[in-house]
Amino acid sequence: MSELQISSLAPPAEDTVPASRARRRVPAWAVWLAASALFVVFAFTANLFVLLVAGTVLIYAMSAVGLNLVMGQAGLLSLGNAALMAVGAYLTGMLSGVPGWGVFPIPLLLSAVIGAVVGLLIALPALRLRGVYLALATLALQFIVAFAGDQYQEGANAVSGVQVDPIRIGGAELELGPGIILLLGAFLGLTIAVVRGLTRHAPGRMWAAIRESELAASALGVNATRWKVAAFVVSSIIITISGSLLASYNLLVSSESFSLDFAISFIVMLIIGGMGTISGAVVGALIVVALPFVLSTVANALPQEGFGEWLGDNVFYINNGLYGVLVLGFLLYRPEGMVPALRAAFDRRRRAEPATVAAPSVPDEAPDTGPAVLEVRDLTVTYHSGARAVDGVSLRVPEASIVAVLGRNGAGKTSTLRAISGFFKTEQVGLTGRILLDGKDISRTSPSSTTALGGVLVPERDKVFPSLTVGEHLALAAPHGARDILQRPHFARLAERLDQPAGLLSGGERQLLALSVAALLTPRVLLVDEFSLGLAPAMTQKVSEVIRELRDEQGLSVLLVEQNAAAALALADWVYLMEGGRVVGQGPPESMADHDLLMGVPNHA
Amino acid sequence: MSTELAQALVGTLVLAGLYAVVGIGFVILYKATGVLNFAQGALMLLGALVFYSATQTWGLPWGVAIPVSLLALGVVGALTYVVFFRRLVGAAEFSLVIATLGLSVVLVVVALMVWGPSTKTLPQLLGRSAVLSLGPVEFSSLDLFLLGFSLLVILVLDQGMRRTRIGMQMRAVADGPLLAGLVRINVHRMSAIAWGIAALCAGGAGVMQAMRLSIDPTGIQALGLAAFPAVLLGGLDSIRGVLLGGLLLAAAQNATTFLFGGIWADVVAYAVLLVVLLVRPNGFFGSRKVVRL
Repeated sequence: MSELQISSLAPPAEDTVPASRARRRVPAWAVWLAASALFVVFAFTANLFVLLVAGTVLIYAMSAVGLNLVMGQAGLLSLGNAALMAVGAYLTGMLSGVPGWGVFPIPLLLSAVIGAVVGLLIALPALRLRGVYLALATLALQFIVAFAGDQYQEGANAVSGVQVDPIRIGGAELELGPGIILLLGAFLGLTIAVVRGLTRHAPGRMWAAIRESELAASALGVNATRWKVAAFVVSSIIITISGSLLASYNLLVSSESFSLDFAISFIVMLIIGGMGTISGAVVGALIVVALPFVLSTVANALPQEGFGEWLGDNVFYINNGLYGVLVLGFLLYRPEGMVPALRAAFDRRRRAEPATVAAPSVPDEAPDTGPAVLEVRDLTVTYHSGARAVDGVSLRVPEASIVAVLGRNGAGKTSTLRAISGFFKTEQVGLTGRILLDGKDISRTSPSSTTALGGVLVPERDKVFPSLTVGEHLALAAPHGARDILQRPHFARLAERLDQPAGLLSGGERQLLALSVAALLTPRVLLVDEFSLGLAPAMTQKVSEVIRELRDEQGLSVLLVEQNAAAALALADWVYLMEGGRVVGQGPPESMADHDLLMGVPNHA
Repeated sequence: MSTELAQALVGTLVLAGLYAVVGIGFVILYKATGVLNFAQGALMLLGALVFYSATQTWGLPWGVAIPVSLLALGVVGALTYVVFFRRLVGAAEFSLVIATLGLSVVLVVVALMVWGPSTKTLPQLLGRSAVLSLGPVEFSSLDLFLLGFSLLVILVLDQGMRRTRIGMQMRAVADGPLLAGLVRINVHRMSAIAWGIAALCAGGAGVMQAMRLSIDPTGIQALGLAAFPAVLLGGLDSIRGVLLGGLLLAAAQNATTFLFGGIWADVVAYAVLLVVLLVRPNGFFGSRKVVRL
């Protein structure tokens, strides 16, 4: 293998593209019509108790659909649901005492206006910042509104709650019955239509972009703050209106009912139903409202002894705690939520999808001559998108030698190194081939296990802990003291700065520190990613000397990945050349120095 | 200086200590694991109730009951990581926060099922009459104990993070969890310890509140959440900032109480939170990277 050879492995067959879903779509208007008809039948046939629960479900579902706009679409966490509903509810309570102002739909319209204003006031300070700050701002809103509500109730001499008039349409009071259920159903339908309209057009695309990556969205010129505020304000309007409806429906407003737990229960609805889908929000509302009724019924039906008695005694607490358990359970085991999970299960059955074709495993080759510390055989790395970053790469790092992988940006060098150090175990990346460290296959081990087995990576960036001092770095790597490293000539610069945080070191000093830390971990093979990046030529030379010293004195094997050909050729014992994900040449540095690729002229087919 | 004002001053110091104790655990957890913990109020309640049982039911002397309660909460915190949050490593911050909300609901319900919903009051464990006077400012032995306790917790954690090997490893994990794994730090163990410390601190604050006033399930949770403004004032990721944040928040709350009455105390805390978000979102000592990403 002394001659330069051009690798000629044929690429394995491309993965089969999954058959596109051939699903006949029912027109949207037909779905709406059928749902409305079913709903009307339900409203006129169900008994009063079912209607009572159904009304609550409809109002909560409307609220949850509003919250979904902020959480599911824009990806922001809000704890303001209870407070915003309370704003609408109190406003409706206040108006119902004033002649002429309590007439439907005046309270709803005013609630919408006030909801927009409150939403804007809360969103403006929080949404310039990272998404999670909205959770803190809405927590503040929760306590402030609860306080204001308490004060109002005290002032109005209504400590147990403010009475609210029922909704009046054309002189007729809407009491519990089909009429109000139909009205609430219409509001929910309207809300869904509006939210669907928004998410399917430009705003939805903006929110999706922000949710995926705020940074990337900003880079594309999306004014992230403005779109986040817009989502929050529209959502606030919907939620406040739902609060107003709730007050008219319950005929009472009390600050106790708009607690922080109440706000959390709406988040729970979205988690259970499925974040980001309107049907998920509705299903979630149904479950969270109906489950306590179901549990209470079960508790009453069980014999009042043993478990039944315990359940009967504690059903109140269990009802309260259940949604905490549900939210943890879903986050851990079904983070996508119920509706998307069911949909996926349904689609799977429908499609009878062919099993993903695994790339054919490569038969073991006869081991090459000479002991290799690290050996990579036929490594292929395929990203989720289908792009093949590394394509059948084989390379060896013999004992106590420095091997360099050279290539331009995008040649697949860094992907090879990441595969060796185990970073692809956790990401959605297909990896075939074998990676042997001292004969042991490490292609499936995590980065920390790879380190433990002796393959220590010095990353390209973030190679030191900025707030830890130089001395602490040494202590981390060598608990029993790192005295002898202080005497090494190359460490002199760092020895003077033992008490300085590593964040204050220069790029070269960081590289020296990272190499020293890696060496203290007594690796079998040191994996160094782009050590010369951003270093001045003199510093590059100094770092090169240190790497050579580590090999000569500690007998370390080193795998370098480099774009800087000059630095690598001066240091390495053997050089691999990569291009387009493959090894296109290898040899001792002398024979590689005048390789066409290194002169910057691509010549491979 | 009137005696009322002097008493408000002492109350401010004690409350600041309580906020600092919750806050320091919160910051350590946030730095090491990136989890913004909304369950600190529930953990405070749990700490107070364990302390109540330890002294009233098991009959332990309160000097023994305190370390027992702290230890119990530390174990609860570490278990929380092992059972729930270990599986959520790498999840979006959004999901982590929601998980702490779910955890809070579960913890509170468990606490109410075991201990009942009523407010509990401990018999007086320490004297409330003045034993030390600095001019008009008088400290009771309870005040002195609570101040000493919070200073001790803060000192031990601050120095522990700076000087011990575990503290160093935790700071390394906070700086770069990926790199920490590469230099053979057991990141899972460090996260479990961070959760243990956070719960222990919240529990400690719960014990303080139980000794100071009473164990009111709703009130104590609200107090735990009110530590958010304190932490935000100092900067979400600054251990020493928590001290100043706690002091400023307690001062603002006690000043309003002194001027307008006690019902304003909670609202002022959250008004402070909104003002901090508006004016100085990275607090006094927090790093910029926390705010924007």
